[in-house]
Amino acid sequence: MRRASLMGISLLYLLLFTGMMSEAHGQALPYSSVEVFGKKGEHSGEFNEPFAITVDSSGAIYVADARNHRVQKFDGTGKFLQQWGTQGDGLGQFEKPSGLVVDGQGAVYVADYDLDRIQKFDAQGNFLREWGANGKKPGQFSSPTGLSIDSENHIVVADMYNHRVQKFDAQGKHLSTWGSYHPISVFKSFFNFLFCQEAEGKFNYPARIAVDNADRIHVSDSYNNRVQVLSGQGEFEFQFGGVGSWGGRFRVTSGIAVDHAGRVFVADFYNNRIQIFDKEGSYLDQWGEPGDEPGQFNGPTDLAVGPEGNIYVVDWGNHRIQIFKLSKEVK
Amino acid sequence: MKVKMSSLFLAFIFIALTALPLNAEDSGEKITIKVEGLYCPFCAYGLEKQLKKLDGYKKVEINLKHGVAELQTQPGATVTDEAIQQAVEDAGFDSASIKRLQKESK
Repeated sequence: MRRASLMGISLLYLLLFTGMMSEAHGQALPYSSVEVFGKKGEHSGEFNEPFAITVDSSGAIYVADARNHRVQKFDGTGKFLQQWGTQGDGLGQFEKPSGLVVDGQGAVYVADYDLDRIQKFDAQGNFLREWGANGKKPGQFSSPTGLSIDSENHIVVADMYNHRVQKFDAQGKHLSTWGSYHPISVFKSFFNFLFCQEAEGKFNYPARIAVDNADRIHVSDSYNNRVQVLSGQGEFEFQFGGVGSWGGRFRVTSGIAVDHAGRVFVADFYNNRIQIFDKEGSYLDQWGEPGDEPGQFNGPTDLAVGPEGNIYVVDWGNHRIQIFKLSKEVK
Repeated sequence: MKVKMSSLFLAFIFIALTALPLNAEDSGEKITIKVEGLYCPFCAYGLEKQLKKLDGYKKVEINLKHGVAELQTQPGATVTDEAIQQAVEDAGFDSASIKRLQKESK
């Protein structure tokens, strides 16, 4: 599915936009400080392919540590607090934890990419319940990766290989399913300002999801290189993005989060950067480049907004988490 | 003639005896699969998931830098190209881009 699209992306990138990609260079960074924690390993506080992140209302950080088959919990500064999970398909075990969200009561929901299920834990990591199985029927999954929660404590899931979004109540009862498969060609995505918008409400491997204060659902439509915004009832509202390397464009959208002001933060996997958009989807700012220094990324796969407005980014290939404090000018 | 027959018999016995330990130590195949477009974990994990379902699967490692999956099979197991190809397709990749670069027994 991706050979042609990635070749196209590379070609267009080289031919047309090598001079436009450095738009942010020379401009002030949108963050005032960055803290880094974690390194590759299997001990507490270390990671082996951290994949997803969420932050609760108290500022505690939860990380899905994919290849260590566990969830780790940290305080807001990155100090290790606890962990749970071992490899397996039993209750409370994980094969590949791939998505996280915390509800208003502090319960932690964890998606498992390989086991096609959601597990619910209390804030101490005690198993509460599970739901889901491999399949295409409502309530089943094919590699769930993104989780978010709305104002009614409903869990919204990016069901990636089923190219759809599903909604459940806090007990795992299926409520709604939206979306189907529709890839957009690289050519049309690149020149989407010339074409009528297509495939509204349809997806090409939706990887992450974020619900805003108005219960609008923001879907990271990863291989369509765009973000789609749906109403709480799943109706398409608008989209933004398209393939490219300049501001407002993406090369595989991954993590997505919305802050209290409605600004949307999107991790741009191949461009190794984070982009900021306003609530209408207009591009505001960006930061990041390839590398392993603070502020650089090696494949950001997820991000979260903390209660203080800090941005927590999973730097997957560097096996670490970066915490960015945004500049006052951006706030 | 008797000498030749006995030599052949002894050779047969020798081959049979030395072959047994080799079979016992067979560690299976190591198959390197080149998959175009294998660059990010969202899809790489999908390929890994499908390869794990193959009969004879023992271990798989994905190397994103080189765009390859290295599949280790169980001793004595045979995983066909067709089965691998199907797994790759199920993971959402182009089947025509698969290459079996290495196939060896230890």
